Amino acid sequence: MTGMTPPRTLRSTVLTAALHRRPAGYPDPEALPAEAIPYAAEVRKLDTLLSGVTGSQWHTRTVTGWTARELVDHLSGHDAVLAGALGVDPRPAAPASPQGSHRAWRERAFALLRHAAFTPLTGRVEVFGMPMPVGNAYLGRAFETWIHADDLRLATGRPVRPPSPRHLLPLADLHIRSLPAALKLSGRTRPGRTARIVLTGVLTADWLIALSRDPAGSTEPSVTLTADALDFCYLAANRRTPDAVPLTITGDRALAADLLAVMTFFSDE
Amino acid sequence: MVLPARQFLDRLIAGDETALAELYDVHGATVLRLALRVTGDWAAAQDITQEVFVYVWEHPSRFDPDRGDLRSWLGVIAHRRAVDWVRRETAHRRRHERTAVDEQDATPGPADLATSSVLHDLVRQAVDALPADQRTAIRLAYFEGHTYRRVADALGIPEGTAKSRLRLALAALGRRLGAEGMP
Repeated sequence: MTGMTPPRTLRSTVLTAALHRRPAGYPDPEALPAEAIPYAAEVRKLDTLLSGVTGSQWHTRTVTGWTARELVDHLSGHDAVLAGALGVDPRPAAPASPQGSHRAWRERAFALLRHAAFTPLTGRVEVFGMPMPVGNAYLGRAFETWIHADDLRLATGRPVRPPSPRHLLPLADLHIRSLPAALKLSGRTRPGRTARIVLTGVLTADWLIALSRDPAGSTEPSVTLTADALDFCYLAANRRTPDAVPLTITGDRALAADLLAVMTFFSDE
Repeated sequence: MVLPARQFLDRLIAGDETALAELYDVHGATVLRLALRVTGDWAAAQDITQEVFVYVWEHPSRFDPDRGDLRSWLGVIAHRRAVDWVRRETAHRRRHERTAVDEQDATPGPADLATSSVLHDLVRQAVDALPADQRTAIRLAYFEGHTYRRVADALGIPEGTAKSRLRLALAALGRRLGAEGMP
């Protein structure tokens, strides 16, 4: 039996089965730092989705005003900004077909994930003129990838697929932590005020967040805003408006209105 | 041929499909042979080979290059899968045959922890690490294929004690091999 050689077909069976479970170029998610894990999950989901998009579906208009294909190019362009800031190749050629758009997006997204698998996500990076911790930039990519994937699903008659609660939490957290900066950049600074945000639904968590760096600030929240976690993310993504979402506000309603107004500050489309 | 551990592992983690192909080309035959020896079944051995490489491709970062080489890791996984297959087959046969269940049957067969000729280094090490009384019981029951009765006689202990000693030893082995990264 020592001289036994495996049948020739076994090799291709094994390799095909393996690549079906994890595509080439997609790093082992277990090797990723926490901040890149939601992005890895959303990239995988969108890749699967795009593999199933056919013919005329590529030309379907999404809520963004772009067609499915244009949306993928748009996402790819934003990925390229982070990739460029991190010095991550490749720079795929301008795609000549919808499938080419899919490939170009995928090639860059996978490259960003491989970067995260082998390079500590420390330090800051400037994306669209805003300096931020590299980890936050990856969470931002996860958020935008999810939202646009769902735009595409809705436009092509597919059910939405929000992130699992485990991945949703750091994305909601990113938006909540960004509120003080959003207030400041929108000229609505609220010195010394603190807000409490309570999220419910698929996850339950709450935040007490100082809305300015005022050391004399109160630790007592001036306002408590309670929302469903997914609704909160849809508000931040500008996919829902505050009047269309069940919200519970106690305390300073004007402050709550400001928070809701600046929530979409870091979302583009 | 030994593939340089860290660098090669990084290629697997990065999703380099040529690394997967190399891994298969270098170790595929060994994995298949090991699975075949334990199961004695050609189709099962091929299925197990596929499972092993799919598992390693999906979870390369579970391998710790400081604790052994990839070949050993593949061997451990293949061995575990093959033993599971034998265990399932045995249970399946037993359900169908419905013969009087003797103690030999109730004891995991020798193929269960696998014949000693294919016992992997890690399994051997795990057995060696057991307390002396458990180690002896395991050797008698699984390597030499004795019944509980014979193990008890050989050790000069009651049969119930022999059974519980073997149970403890198997649990300890399971924990240890689990810690070695067996799936």
